[in-house]
Amino acid sequence: MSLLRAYTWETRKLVRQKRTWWGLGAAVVYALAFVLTLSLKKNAGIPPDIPLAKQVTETAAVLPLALLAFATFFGAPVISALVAGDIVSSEDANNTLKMILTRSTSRAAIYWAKVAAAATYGIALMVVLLATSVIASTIAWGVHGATLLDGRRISGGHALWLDVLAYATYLLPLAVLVGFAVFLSTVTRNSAAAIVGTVIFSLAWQGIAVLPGIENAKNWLFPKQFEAWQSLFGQSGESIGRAAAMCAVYTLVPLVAGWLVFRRRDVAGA
Amino acid sequence: MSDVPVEVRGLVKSYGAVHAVDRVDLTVEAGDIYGYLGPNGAGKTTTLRMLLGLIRRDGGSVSLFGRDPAHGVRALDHVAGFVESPTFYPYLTGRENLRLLGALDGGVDDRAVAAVLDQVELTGRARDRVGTYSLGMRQRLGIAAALLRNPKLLVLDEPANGLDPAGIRDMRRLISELPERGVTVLYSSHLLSEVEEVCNRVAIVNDGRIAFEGRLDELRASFGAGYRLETADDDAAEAAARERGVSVSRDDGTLWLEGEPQALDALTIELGRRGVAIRRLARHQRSLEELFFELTEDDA
Repeated sequence: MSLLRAYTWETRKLVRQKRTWWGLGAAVVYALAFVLTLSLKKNAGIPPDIPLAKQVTETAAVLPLALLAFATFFGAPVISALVAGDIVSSEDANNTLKMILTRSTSRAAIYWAKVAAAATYGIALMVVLLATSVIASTIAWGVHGATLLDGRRISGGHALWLDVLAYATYLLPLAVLVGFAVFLSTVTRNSAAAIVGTVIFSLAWQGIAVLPGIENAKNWLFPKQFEAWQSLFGQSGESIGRAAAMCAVYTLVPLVAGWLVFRRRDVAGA
Repeated sequence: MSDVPVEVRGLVKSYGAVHAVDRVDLTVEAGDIYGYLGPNGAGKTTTLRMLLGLIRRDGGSVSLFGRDPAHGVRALDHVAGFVESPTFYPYLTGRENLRLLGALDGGVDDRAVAAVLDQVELTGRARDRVGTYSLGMRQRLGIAAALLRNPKLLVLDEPANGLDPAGIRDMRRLISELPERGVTVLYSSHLLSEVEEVCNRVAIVNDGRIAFEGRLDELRASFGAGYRLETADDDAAEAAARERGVSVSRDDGTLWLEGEPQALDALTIELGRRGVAIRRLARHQRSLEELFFELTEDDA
């Protein structure tokens, strides 16, 4: 119960903070910018390595997938870390830890409530991005059937349902970014350091993934898990099960490390 | 569960070579308003942080009603308060901050929140964001947040900070009334006059160590009774005092005497016998401030 109460208040605090709305607003702008650009520019397109790329202006179901692919490098780490990287360190900035840690809720409940609230924000981010992109691209191009990578033809409604599943799958690697941002927020006690650190973490992984000689290990590296959703559209070599397992490991390691630091930390200073 | 609100034995906290708290013993009995005094950097706040489980100790034991705060928040079930200035979420209103803290205590109804806001006279500003509050208002909100827990032990660190004279008077009245409601108060302050006004027992800490712990009257007695003597012939009076075994010193043309009342009685008779006129003989009650400086500066 104390975890639930703490979680409720963590989410209320997020709702009252500007950075939460900046992040969600950025997701809206990001989606609208793509739709506008593709609508206004003749012969516009998206890179062909994105599944169903050629159909992007033919049905509303494809643009949300393009947004996922583009977000992987920079957008996802920045926007998710905007809140997750601040969720513990803001207590240091406001000097409020000493107030909440002397009430009747344990450190464990407070820490994991913060983790849950940061995860909730990640989910909200995906919901806003998906909703904005579907609505905007439906207005621009309408909902029509799509042809999957394996040649199967599916209805527009079915394609949109696969979009929902793709976004749900994308939450797995997003959870890794959230977990790492919470870890940095706990350890550095500095929001800016946590946000920048999460971006560097993500970029470093992208760099590692393109190193020569590690082809066999690639499927187990963090960046590959961002592509797991493509299996829903017939992409071979991708696996949601593998992504779930790997992301669980990549998420839990920093979160548990963060908890060990938070559990033992001295709340000193002004 | 023990009835003793605070029992601290051999408490130690070091930062590198610096002993911030050095084998501190404290006992706060139920119903006490216990003053915890010391100069800046003496280790008062570090001790309070260990009491509230905010920092880990390097040695010794802490017991709040028989429970060790190092073992979790259950030890704080009957304890409330704040160290240094109370802090809140600036983007939430005063009422929301209290509701949040109440939720962390297991839930609180709006009437209880309204009651404590009324008690600290913040009802009119309860809907404003705490970011717009003055230091004094945050201080009062801190006291409201503490009272919201219905504590049996209230730990207050410099609660008069930022309060105007009327606020200090009101806070003093509030604290004085708490023991009648079954609340014990541990009051850390550098405002000696405040402590002298409201506290029945004190501990004076200096360089991380307890220089004195006990009742205020015991503290005064431990330094002996002081008397101020003015005569027509101070040299003769000083000689007579020394002969009678009364401790004597001079300061700005005044003789300061320390001794038992019987010795002072004998001295006055002797001065009369020797023809030394006594112009003034008055008992001098040492203020807490004088005793504090004597203890802390001697130690230093």
